[in-house]
Amino acid sequence: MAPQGMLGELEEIRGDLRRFLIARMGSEADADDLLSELWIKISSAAPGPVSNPRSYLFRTANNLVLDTIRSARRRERRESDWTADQVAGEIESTEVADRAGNAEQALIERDEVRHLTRAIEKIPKGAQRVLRMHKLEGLSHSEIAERLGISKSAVEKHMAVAMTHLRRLLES
Amino acid sequence: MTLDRTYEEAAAWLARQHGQAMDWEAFMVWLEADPRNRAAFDAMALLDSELDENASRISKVIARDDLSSANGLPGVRWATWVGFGGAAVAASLAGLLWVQPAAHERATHDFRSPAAKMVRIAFNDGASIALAPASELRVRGDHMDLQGSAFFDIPHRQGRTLNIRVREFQVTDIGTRFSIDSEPEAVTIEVAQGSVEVSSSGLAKAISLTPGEGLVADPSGGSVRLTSVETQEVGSWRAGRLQFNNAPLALVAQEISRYSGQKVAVDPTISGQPFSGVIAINHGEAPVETLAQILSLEIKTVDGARRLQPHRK
Repeated sequence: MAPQGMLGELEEIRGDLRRFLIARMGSEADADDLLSELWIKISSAAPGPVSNPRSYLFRTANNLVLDTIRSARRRERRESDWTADQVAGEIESTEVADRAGNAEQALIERDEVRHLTRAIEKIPKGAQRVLRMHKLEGLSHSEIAERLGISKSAVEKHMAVAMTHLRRLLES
Repeated sequence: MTLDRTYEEAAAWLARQHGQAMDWEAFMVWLEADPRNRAAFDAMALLDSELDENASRISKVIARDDLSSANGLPGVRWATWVGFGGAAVAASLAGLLWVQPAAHERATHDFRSPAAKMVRIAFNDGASIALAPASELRVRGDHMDLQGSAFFDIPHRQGRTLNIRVREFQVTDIGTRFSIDSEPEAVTIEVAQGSVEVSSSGLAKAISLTPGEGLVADPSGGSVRLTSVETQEVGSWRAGRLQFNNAPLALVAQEISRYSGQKVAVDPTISGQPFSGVIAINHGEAPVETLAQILSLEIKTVDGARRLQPHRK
């Protein structure tokens, strides 16, 4: 679909998209920001063949929300790291603050990976298998359904179970 | 409603979004029903992207665990590959490395090519893959994960489908010759023989590419452009030629950097300028000089990188 066509569709369902973004962001101002971002994205880049423009627009809007919350999370982390560095620098010596650089960041990340891996290994077998195929091996839901001889909705259920377990395991 | 139940529902909505038939209206109604639903969904979505960001590292740890429990030796195969990478850097630029895993070992392998050096991987079943310099290919049976570029020559075999993941794209193939190039600027897929299917969550349906057809996607997967290519030029980098057709200069620089091992940057004012033509990257050639001459640009060396910029008046 040409960008004009997609923009036309966007105008057509603008109200629905706005309502969705408000529900998703919890704020009208954030929703309006993302709605303009969506418009810019659609008008500047011609999407490839799109069979269901409505669903494409919802999906794109949903991805913009994810980008936003992801960078908010990263910002939060950076700020808390900065605070930790400052405290370490004041209490101990400047040497500690100097060493708290990339190496330490790498250690924290490695720790996070170990944490995630241990949690994944504790998920019930069936759900764990589907999660590993989807998230680690990169198979799509339909590919997993085909390989395991189960329905796509069974794959979705396994994924939901796996993610629920994973969250609970990481919290404890 | 208990908190656990809320998270279960959030996980279910997240899983549905990865499927084909997502009901966005129903999702909206669920979000509006209780503000805690949104918070639970955000938490699940963040966990989901944490998994995505760490997928290859988690796989490595799991592979090591599996290996050590299988033969009592921790991480043997992985350690071998680390050693191999070091030796490869020392090898000559013009030569090629041949790696021939035994057929039954096809299951789990990680291949990494050093800078300015191509690695050829030959499988016993006749499949062969040329891995471009500074690239990485993870092989898990018929599922592969590519970072960088590679040319695939996969003979058709009854009942076998190869799946290659490159960034957010899935390339599915049952027997063909094609190339995949993933640079920060763009993902390019070109087919010389047979056909492949390309899918992505950003695409409403899979795109089928046949010989002479190609696809260029921007990094976010937001836009996809179909291109036509000369079949004999697909993967021509294997013969030391980089072929460009209306490629932005930034992408040209990234590819020259990858294949020549020489860091090349482009002045931001000209990074979007399109370039069409062939650049030789054989040993002894000076690809940056060639490009600068063709486009009448100036070369400046900044921090060890060659930087292309317009002539200063």
